[in-house]
Amino acid sequence: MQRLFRIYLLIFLWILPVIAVSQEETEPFFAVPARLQIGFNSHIYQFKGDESHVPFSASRINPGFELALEQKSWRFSVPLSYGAIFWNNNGPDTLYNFNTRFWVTGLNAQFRLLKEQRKLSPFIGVGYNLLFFNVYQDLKNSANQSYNLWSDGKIRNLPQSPENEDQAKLISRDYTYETTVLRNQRITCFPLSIGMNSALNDQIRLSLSYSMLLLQGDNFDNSLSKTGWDKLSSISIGLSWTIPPSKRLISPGKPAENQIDYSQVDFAALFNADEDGDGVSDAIDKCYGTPRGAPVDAHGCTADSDEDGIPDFLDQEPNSIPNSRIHPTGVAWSDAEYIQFANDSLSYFVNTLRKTNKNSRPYPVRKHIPSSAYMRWSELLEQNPDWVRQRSYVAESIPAEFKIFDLNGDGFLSLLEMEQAVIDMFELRSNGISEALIRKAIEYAFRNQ
Amino acid sequence: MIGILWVLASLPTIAQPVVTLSGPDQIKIGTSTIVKVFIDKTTNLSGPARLELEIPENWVVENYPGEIATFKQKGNKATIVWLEFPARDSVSITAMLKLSSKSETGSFMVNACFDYFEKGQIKKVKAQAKQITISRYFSRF
Repeated sequence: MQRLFRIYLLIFLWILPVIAVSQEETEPFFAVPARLQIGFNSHIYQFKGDESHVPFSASRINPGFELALEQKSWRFSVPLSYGAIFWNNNGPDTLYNFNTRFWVTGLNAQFRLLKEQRKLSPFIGVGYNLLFFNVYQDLKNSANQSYNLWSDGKIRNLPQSPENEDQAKLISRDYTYETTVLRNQRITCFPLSIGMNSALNDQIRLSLSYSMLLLQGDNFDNSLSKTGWDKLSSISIGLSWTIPPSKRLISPGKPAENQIDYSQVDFAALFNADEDGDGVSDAIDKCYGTPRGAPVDAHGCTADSDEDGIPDFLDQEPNSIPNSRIHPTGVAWSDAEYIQFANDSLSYFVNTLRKTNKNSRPYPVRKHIPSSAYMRWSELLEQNPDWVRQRSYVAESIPAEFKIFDLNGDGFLSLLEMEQAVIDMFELRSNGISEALIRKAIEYAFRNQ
Repeated sequence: MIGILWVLASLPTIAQPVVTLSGPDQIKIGTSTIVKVFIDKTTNLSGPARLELEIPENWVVENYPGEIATFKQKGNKATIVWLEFPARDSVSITAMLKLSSKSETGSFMVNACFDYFEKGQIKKVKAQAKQITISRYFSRF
């Protein structure tokens, strides 16, 4: 069993840095200041010794404290925990009992399995700890009478012998563990842990973990055998508080480009975040929300070779003539075709995009082009009122209740007009307009023209 | 058990979106920096919404990677409007701010205010203001 634990430990210690190296960015490890944390936690213990098996018990909660430094995905802590385990075997042939009280301290390392801290972040950990402990036993009662277990299974104040049969009196255990049988003992252990952190806010974190403390000794229960080392494990729940960095003052006259105080910025989170999963971190991603799996360039934007606003992977004509009017499929149209298309209604345009987009969202394209194709189309309509006027039937189709949003009176509810309506609403400039009406108008602008 | 109950009782009551504004403490004139606004919905927030970022004079948002929202800057106010707020649990906006060399030095506040609708009513949530010091030089503290 000891060999098995050693193998587990070796595998664990090998896997941890491999995961770490695979997850860490190229940014230097110490580029971000470490964050100091103070934690308080509660532990319950399970123990398996040579002749005992103490299960987890919620009625025996032990306190703990820790100081930790968090650096990127790593967290190094110095714990100080108290624990006590009890065992009583009142069987017919033994009075074996013990109460081991111990302190645990050492150095632990935790590694967060996700790149950035999220609401729930799993972690694994390993450490090097020392257990300082005393073992007590209940060998006498309050009258200082030693327990003697007789063959009938009862406890008497005198050893079992023919001459004591008349004098011996029945006594019972008082469970006070008054006799120190081992004092100032020390065991090395290697805790392996797995758990979950939950960030309640920027500074307070709740953690729940299970740890297997690989004890490197066998006398934790005052019992030595050849069956293997004692086994101790714990379940912990705790709160940790990240100490906010102190405000620092600028001292003019000491120019130094590399002495920037970004202590309150979680740059690791900023640089590591990648919400659309395109492999380009949000900090440099010029196009959020690119569809999963779509090829992107170094800026996180879907490639758009002809810069027509339709990303290449959707573009049926990736090399359209520059400044052409473009169909949603990416094919260049003549002016006449385009005006005809405009007359065919906005809903066709939007729906065409939606058919190719499971998320019902247009795809963002390069920075210098509006963030979506339909927005570009709306802008073109705003800039070319002639196209709009040719769509005379549209004006007649706008329901009367939405005409209040048609700011330029062209009989067309553009998304730009709806945005202005939203801004007016939040600026309290929209007398009598309800949220329900503005939502209906937005839906209408998107789909029902 | 008491410890567990104490921990559970200490969990915060969530009633409205949480808006968090983060950025550097100090910025040097003429450089760029990143300001991030994180909106944690915590409720069934949907429909139109707006985020207003109030920044010091002479700051320019030079890169806003937009999704289905539009961005406008007028003076010291940068506004992002969603006709339909994203359905996911949280939204983060990372804006790259450029400080003009004409910027004044000193301490300035950056504010973020998020507007949305809830049951037909306009709701506003303000992030904790972020103080940023603009300096010509950085120094060791």
